[in-house]
Amino acid sequence: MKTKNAVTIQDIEQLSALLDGDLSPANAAAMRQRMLADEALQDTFSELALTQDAMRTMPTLKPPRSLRIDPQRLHQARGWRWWLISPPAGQLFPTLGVAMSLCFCLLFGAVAMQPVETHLLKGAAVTSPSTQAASADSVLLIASDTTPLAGSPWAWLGVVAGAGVLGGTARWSWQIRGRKRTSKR
Amino acid sequence: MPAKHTMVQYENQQLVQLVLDGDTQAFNDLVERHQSRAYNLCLRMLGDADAAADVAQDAFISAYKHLPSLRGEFRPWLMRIVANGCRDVLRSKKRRPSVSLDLERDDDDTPAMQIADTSDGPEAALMKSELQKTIAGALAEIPDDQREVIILSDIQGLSYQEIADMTGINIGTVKSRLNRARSRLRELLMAAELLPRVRRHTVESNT
Repeated sequence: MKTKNAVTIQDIEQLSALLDGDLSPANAAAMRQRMLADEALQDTFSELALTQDAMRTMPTLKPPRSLRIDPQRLHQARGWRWWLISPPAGQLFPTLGVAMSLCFCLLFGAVAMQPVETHLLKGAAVTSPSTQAASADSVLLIASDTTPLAGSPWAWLGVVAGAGVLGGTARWSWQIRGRKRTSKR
Repeated sequence: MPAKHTMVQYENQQLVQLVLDGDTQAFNDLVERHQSRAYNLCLRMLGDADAAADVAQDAFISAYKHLPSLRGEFRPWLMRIVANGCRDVLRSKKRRPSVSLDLERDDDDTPAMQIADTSDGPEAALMKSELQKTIAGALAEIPDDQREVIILSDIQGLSYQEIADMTGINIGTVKSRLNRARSRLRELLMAAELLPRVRRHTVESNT
């Protein structure tokens, strides 16, 4: 015999999930069993189904006017992203980016690889005659002031950053090429 | 004037590439292809035909502006922009649509309502039409966040995952908003005494 119990919000959630086919087979079977015994659940399910059906058959209306956009307006809407991909910057940027990244890597790499002592000597060589006349301790002090990057973490950071920029630029160029290949297929 | 690209000839991604190569006509072809879906989402969200057309067009312009940064599929990306545009308008105006859109349409170019299949019979068609009008009005009574989810799910036919991606909320929230929206909509239709009539009619026509 069928009963008519109050339908809870949890029941509605389950019925809604059943409607969307989002219940596991076991839960769906259990809910169907409950619906067979409970008239209120059955009614709610059919009402939800009717509501969803009515929503699905809502008419697709035409816009009151065409939404096409004037090309002039489109050109005005172009932001900086467009500048990056439009000629001539768009054509030069990937090449320039790779070249600059390589230079960045080489420059910082060279500085990073250089032994600290060499820099110290060079630092001493460029000091003024009055400095040369000073004691060995003061020469070393001045020399170390003039070679802040040699072997320092900053130089290595530069190498890593350069490699990152290089990788990023290469990936970006590759993506653009890939997208062009896909669209031409 | 550049030739119009036929729908069959070009996929979305191909049109996107043509646009990126400088072909603005290709962008307008994308607009024509997606304007109906974009407009209808705005329309159901905002309940105002002119505002919906404006928001949809602004969304297309915004899409053009950000097209170089597009990654992945064009359509979900565009619809996300459209949904964001609607949300912005709702937030800024802080108002709800007060008149059912279907009641205020007066253009002669398009039918006021796609009446149900004539095989349903005139009574069923009339009932369906009445139901759809009531739903259009009832949607305005639902909170914005719930309305957005139910429109995307039950009108636009998107999956939970697509809705979650588009709205930036998790699937659990999508489900709970959808449940609340359906429940509320059911209550409103019950209050209008439409669902019992439709159900009775369905039962009668099945027996």
